[in-house]
Amino acid sequence: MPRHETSFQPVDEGPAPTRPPCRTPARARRRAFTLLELTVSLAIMAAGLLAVQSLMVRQSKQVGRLERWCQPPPTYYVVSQSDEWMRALGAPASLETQAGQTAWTTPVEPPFDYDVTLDSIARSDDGQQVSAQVSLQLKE
Amino acid sequence: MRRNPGQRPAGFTLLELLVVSILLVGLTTMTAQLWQHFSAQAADIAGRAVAAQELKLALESLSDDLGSVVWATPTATNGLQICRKVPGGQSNVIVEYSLSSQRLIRKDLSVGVGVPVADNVSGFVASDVTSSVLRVVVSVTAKDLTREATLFWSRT
Repeated sequence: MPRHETSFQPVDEGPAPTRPPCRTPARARRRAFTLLELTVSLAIMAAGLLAVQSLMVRQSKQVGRLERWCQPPPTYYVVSQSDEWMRALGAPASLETQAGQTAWTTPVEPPFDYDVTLDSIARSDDGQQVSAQVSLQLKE
Repeated sequence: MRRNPGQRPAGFTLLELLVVSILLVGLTTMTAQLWQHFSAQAADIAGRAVAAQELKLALESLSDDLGSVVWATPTATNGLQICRKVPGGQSNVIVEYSLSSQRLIRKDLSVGVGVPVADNVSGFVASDVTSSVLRVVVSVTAKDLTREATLFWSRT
């Protein structure tokens, strides 16, 4: 079989040709994060940190408020109602944290003198409010 | 799936995975500690709130009866008897406060019915300080936390 030298293409086994320093777009993109990616991730982290910080600040304030509410004064001075109106209405005694305070005032000033008739009385469930209907007759 | 000879294999390197794992472990530890701290604080606050609420209930009931008091005196069992006016009525009624099974019981002696006014009450002691001053000490214990309040009432 005749050999056709011209048609034989030998494999080049010499040193591999140096790769051109071309950076294909796909390979260049995988090298590192872009500035945009870093900025986005930092913004998300900052938002998360801010949210956590605001939550902690709010929680600390609420804890402080609750702790103040949960520490009632250790000593109370009970002042019973001295006014007959208040006693007839069943008003609770005032709890004072210091002796000598005045928590209740009479609803009618002293210069007037009335005959008082209690028509009806109603108290709220928590005992904080008392409503009553009274009839006043100015004394002659 | 073929790969170009010069192409870097897709995926994370061991170093990247290690760094990410360490960061995740650190974040998880920090979050767990924060959660533990807040949980302990919340449990402590819950105990304090229960104690304060029960104490407030006891004080409000006492102040309600002492508002229109006629007379009040301690009993032999550290309880308290209060004679008070009935709202809107002319008659008086005697109520007795006593401690029973960690409950402060308010008993209306005229009808013989006792109603618990506060739970978790660990102590209720009424005593005469002087002939004119009465002292009532109420202690409430909730979740290993004790709150105590002292009431002074003058007969004059």
